[in-house]
Amino acid sequence: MPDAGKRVWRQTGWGRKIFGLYVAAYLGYLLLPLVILVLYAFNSSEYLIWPIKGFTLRWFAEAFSDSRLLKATGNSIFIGLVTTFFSTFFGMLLAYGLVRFRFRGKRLLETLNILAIITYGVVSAVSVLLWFHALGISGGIWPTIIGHTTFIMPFAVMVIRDRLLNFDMALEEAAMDLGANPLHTFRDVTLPLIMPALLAAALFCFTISFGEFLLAFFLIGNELTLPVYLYGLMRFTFTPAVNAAATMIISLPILAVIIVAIFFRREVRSLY
Amino acid sequence: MPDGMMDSSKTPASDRRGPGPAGSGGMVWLVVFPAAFLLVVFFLIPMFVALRYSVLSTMPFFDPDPSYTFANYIRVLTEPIYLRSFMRTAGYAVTASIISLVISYPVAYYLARRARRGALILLVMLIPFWTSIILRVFSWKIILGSSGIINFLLKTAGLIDLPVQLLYNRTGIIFGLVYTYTPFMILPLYATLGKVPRELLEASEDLGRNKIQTLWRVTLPLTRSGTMSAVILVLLACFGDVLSAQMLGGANTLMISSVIFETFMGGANWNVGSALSVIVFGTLLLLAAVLTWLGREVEHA
Amino acid sequence: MMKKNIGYLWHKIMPAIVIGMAFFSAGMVFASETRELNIWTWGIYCPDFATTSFEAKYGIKVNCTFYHGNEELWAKLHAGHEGVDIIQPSNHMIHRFAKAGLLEPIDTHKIPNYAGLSEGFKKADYNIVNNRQYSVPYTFGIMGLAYRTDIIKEPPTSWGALWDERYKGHVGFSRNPVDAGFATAKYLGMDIAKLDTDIDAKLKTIKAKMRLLNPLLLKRFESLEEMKNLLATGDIWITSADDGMIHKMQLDGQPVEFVVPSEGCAAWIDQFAILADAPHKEAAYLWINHLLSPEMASRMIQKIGYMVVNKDASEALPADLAEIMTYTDAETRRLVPYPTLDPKTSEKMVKAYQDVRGE
Repeated sequence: MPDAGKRVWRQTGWGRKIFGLYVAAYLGYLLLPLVILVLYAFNSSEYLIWPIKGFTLRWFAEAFSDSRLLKATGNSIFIGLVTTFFSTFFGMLLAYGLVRFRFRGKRLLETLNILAIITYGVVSAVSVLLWFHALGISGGIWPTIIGHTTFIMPFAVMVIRDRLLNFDMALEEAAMDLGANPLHTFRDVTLPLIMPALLAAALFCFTISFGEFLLAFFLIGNELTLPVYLYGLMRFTFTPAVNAAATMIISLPILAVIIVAIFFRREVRSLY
Repeated sequence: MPDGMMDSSKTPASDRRGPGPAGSGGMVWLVVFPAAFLLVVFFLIPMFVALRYSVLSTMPFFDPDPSYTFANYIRVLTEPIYLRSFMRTAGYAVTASIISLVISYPVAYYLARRARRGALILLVMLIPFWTSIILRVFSWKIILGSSGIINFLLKTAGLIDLPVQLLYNRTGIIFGLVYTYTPFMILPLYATLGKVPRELLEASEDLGRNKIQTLWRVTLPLTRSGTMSAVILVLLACFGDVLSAQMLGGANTLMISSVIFETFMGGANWNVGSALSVIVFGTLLLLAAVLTWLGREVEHA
Repeated sequence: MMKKNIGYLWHKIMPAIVIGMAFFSAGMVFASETRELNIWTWGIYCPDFATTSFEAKYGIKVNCTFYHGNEELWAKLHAGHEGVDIIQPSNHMIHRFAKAGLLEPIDTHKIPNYAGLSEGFKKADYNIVNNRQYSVPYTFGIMGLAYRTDIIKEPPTSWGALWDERYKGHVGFSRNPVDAGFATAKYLGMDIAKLDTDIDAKLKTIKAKMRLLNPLLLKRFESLEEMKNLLATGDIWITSADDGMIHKMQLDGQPVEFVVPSEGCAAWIDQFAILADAPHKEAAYLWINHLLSPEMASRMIQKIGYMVVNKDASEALPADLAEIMTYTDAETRRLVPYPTLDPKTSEKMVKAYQDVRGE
């Protein structure tokens, strides 16, 4: 498959180089602000002025001793994991139903699915708040999980649906011709085949939930999630203590990616 | 995001088949029930709740038997603050979407053509995602400030005497919006560009066209609806974005999203806030519908 | 024989016993009086150097609990204040607290260092209720102007400098409706102590003036921390500000200057007040006297950047700091103590500011 692409590319070598440079520049643009964020965490001056005056670790000491920061992170991780589980699981079910079957209300579900992604924003978040308010449910961890799952599940549906559409139903039919019932077919044939999509969806869901601000802000009540806590911090703290907290958070995914790259090299390569 | 997202007539053969495996009628509902429940109860119904509150005179908390009224809508449509911030937001959203498109398209194109590296680059792109939108927006405060990196470089290079004001104004917000949403544009663009069959491109090249002509005559028309989907996604997202305005905006950049946010953050009039939300939501839906219709795929290849 | 012995007992030993008991009970009273002291105060008024030196000098343990707002203090007191001796409300709250019967009248003769206070702060209106003094001033913060000395060459002297077209796009202003309202009112020459009367007409004028400021503003800061940073980065060149923050910036070497505008401005004055049912009143007086001593006062000034009312304190400061932090008599005369507003007035000011913000 890669060879077919090569024919189209070989004709213009310099064009390809410029392209590559552009994409590299874009990646730099994406990552640079984070590098700067981390850099500032070590700034000895408390003012957010460039260039950096000196080196200090005192902001990290401040961040580490902040019990609210740690609590918020814990909450975010918990909410992320639960949201991921339900989003991926329910999303898989919905994706399967939408792709393999025809039924009444299918159009409605498809529309709702897409709308949930497109219209996500302050309006959606506020509407969910109003609904919980009308139900007399005050904020907390579980309302946040519900809100997150509702709006993040459609992403999982998209990813899994894409994968489901792209493999041959013949495999499933073959299994069923051989006598397997639909449930066994699903477990032994479909599931393994869509596993990469499930993993990708899960990763995606956790990522989104962990960093999500709007729904969490309105639904978390007296508790905190990391983005909500950071928002409060950033409104009133203008010292690099904020950057130190940010660094602690940024290091988590970078660590995860490094671990994946080193220990799961083969699996990653097999993904494509 | 797959191409077929917006356009149901493009379902592949496997989907156009009749009812699936035996006994599917009721069983399907069992399968999709959890997802359907969530979407209907916690996405659809809240919209109607907002609608109801928007026509009430006060929140039930204060008065268990409020009366129905259009006063909230009248306020939203007549007080200048609302219209002005709405138009301002529209301006920011359009600008940010266009800039995002220009930046994202080449990246998506590159990724689509290079299957192997593309996946790795996407993974790298996910790293900022992990760090939460808040941090990503905040980092621009350091870069764009009057004592920030950009001004520092410009000053050192001798290009300016006084710092350029890039923050707490429209510029800052657009920077924030573009930075936040280009990844959201790249993904669907990547998906839709990846679906253009290689054979078509090769055929076009064989016919003697160069790359640019191929792009213009083959790729673009084929990916029209997919591209429009991506644009709609970002355009609508900008209307609902709160963080760029709150952190990078200033005294004269009030966005309608901030107005709604601040209404519900404090104890302000939630009924008026609901009316505002309904109007904004309605406008967004209308916009999405119109743009989808405009971007529908032309069938020639 | 017995009778004579009992008589002897009575006349010799009883007085001894009585005197002994007197000493004992005095000792008990004294001991329970001065063993500890409980203070409810703002986060910055209980530094280690003060508590350690106090404990060393008098053997009294100091316990501090913090609050972050006057209304918060009011609420806390009503929720229960068993054992609390000292509170530190701002000047405009004293009348309310005193009328509610919460405060003990202060005998300034028990505070030797009271003599060292700047004249303008002794016996002020806000301290006196029904001819009795209920609090002693401690620190004050002025809500005036601040600007970048390296960017703005001619020092501004009036509130009007905020409305100067030359600074367009680089002006900061408070997001607090009452503070913003006071600043504008002062610029318009109004008496902020009498804002309650005829408030609607006054607000109309204030709003019109504020609207003129809108196109010049860069940002309305939510906190003084934010103001400090905006000024430090140079995003804003001139802004409304609290003097304490600016003094701290100057100590950090930032090119900023604080200005008491010619039209005058509001100043809050944090007080010492002793609760009517305080268990350790003597210790409370000792603490107040301790903190008002020139040495403690000057150390506090250096720590928090806000001025202490003791006029000798500024003399005890290192020369460069003294220069930054002392105010001339002319300047202090332009200060108006932060007035108490009718809640309705505050509400109207909040709404007015919201309207202005939106346009």
